[in-house]
Amino acid sequence: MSASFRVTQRSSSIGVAANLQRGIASLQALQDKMSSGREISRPSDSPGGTSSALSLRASIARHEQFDRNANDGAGWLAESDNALQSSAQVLRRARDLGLSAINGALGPNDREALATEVDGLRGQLLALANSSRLGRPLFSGNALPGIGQPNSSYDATGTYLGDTGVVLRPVAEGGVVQVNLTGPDVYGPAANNAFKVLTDLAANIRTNVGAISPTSINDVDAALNRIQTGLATVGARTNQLETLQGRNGLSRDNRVSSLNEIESIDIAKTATDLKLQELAYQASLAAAARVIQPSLMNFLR
Amino acid sequence: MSDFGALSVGLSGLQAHRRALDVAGHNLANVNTPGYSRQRVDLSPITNPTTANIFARSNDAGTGVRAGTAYRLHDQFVEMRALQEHGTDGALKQSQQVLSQIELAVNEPSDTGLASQINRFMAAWDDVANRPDDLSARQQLVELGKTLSADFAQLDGSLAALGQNTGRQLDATVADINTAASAVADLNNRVLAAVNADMPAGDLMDQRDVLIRNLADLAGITVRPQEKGVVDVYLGTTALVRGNRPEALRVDVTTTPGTTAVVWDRLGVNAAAGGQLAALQGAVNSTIPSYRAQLTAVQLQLTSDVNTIHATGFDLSGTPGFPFFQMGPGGIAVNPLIAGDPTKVAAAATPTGLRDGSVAGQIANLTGPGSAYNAMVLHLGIESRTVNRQVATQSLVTEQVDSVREATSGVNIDEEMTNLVAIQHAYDASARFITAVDSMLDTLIRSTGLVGR
Repeated sequence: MSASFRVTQRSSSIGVAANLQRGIASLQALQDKMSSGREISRPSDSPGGTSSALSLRASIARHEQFDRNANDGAGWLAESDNALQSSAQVLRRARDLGLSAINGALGPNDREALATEVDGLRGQLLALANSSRLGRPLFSGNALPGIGQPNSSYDATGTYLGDTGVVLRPVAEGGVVQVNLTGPDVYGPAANNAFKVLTDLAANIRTNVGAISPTSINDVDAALNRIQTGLATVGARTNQLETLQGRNGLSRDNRVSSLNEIESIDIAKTATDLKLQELAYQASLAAAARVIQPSLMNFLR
Repeated sequence: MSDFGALSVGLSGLQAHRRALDVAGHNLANVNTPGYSRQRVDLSPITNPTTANIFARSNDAGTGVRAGTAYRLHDQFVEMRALQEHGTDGALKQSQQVLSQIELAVNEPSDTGLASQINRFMAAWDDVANRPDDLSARQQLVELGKTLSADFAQLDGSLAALGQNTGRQLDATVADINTAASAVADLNNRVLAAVNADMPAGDLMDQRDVLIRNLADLAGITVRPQEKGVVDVYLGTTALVRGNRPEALRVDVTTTPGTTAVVWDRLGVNAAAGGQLAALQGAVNSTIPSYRAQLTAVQLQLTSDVNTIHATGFDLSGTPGFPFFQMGPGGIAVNPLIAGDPTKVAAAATPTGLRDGSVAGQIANLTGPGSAYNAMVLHLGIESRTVNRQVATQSLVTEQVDSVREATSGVNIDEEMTNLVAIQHAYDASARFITAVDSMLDTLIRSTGLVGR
């Protein structure tokens, strides 16, 4: 109030009350901030900040989802890797058996024993090719079996039931990784797939008295090669996925810290402000006590 | 002047100061009365006749003092300014209140607001994309879709309820204004009667002015002072109170459906309201409906964005995607076909490879609906912040004007005490003067004619 105005007890008490009200209001606002730990509790506290906070929250949610996608993809790749490693072992064993059958000195019983084992290996390989993850065959692309049809990549005859669909996982902003390999990719084309190769090998061992034809061994080698290539692909994709997942994690952390910067209070600064405001409030209380009390009455007899 | 005349001079001093003392006491008694204007009595000397007259000539001093009718110290122009500022203040505070309630309903940024719910819903699409053949992921998506619809409906419901409450507040405010206008008219009448009878009218005027200030907050009125202390109150260019005749307002929702108008009861035309009334009208007619419309726009965008992509997909039985959301009058809802059978969520891009989830993945990538909602919250934040700033500035201005008014009309205890002392001394002195005249008369009556005794 400018000095030229006439001052009355009521006007000064109204002024004092208004000042105290302002003081306690800002004290309250700071206390709210301090106890909630939040700089923005409603949009009007900082419209721009709120908007950034909402975008960041959406982006963080997206990043967290990328992370979950990546974990899912990593599981998929790990299980593919297991199945393929085991398949490679099975084929290596089949190759050994084939090689020992080249030895012409084996009798029919020995041959039959070898052939039976190869048959068994074929069964194992088929089971590995039908590996599934959470009820979904790993190597059948995107095919969904109809009602009553087997939920697997290959049927007992070694016929591929899946399709050539790709399974992709978005694991980072702009980073998509293919996590599946289809049956034909790793177990070979329908005409000459690994199961047929093993069937042929068993037949070869049984029928060819004397040395077996080397074609069968070559075929097994080719099948093994395909599996190895598949393993290399899985390894490369796992690598790519982990790199992207790491990058996604960093980018998520950056966003979380940005969000904290926008939404959360600077404790040291808020505590200092609070102390200062408390001081200012106490000072205005003390001033009020002095302003309101005296009048001429106190000095007249 | 006769000797007895001197006694009446003394008496006039006693009487005048007695009245001044009463007024000082009245001021002190009302030192804390809101709207009270301090009063004064003007003392004027009773002079001798100034028209010369042979037999009535006087060379004497005047014949005492006369106290006029008590009047209030009041600045009409400060008052008008104050009314204007109070009107603006009332309007801004009311808008602030409405916007702050909208902010409470929106409840952002938080982990429970609509924005988070939209994020969760979008993430659920990615879960379906990861495992399109998993019914539980689909069921989860459908449930989140239902929750999201319910959250939209709840926010819209809160805004609708706020609109209804604000409408009721508008009714109550109009009733308040009508009551105050009648009271002002009545007081105008009594002021006129008092002034005509040359009686003090200051207290009546103060009472009326308190009501008028209240009207300024409620409806943003202007006043036009008339003769004999009467004040006319105007809303825009139409009189709310003219002399002793009040006009009534009423709320009209029938003339233009969807809008709430405040009209003059008798004339049926729109009243140019300010103050809280204007703010309430603005809230009911534009602010709240505009946020509801923005919320609907967000829902429409969500519906169209999701449905457009969903239609390109195929569900678990290879059927092209149905619309995922349906937009009804009450907001969005998950299509009952899909809600009843989550296998109808169309996640696959081709009707052959049904374990594909790329369409669900595309939906998970949608950012449009989140951004639209974000824009709405930003708009709300800016609008609310602007009003908050205006309120802060306007309260300072209003306080300033009030203090100017108080400076003119308020009672200062020190001042009144000083007056009291001065009046008391003057009263004492008049009494002493009477004593002096008395002793002179005594001297005359008792001591004259005794020469030679």
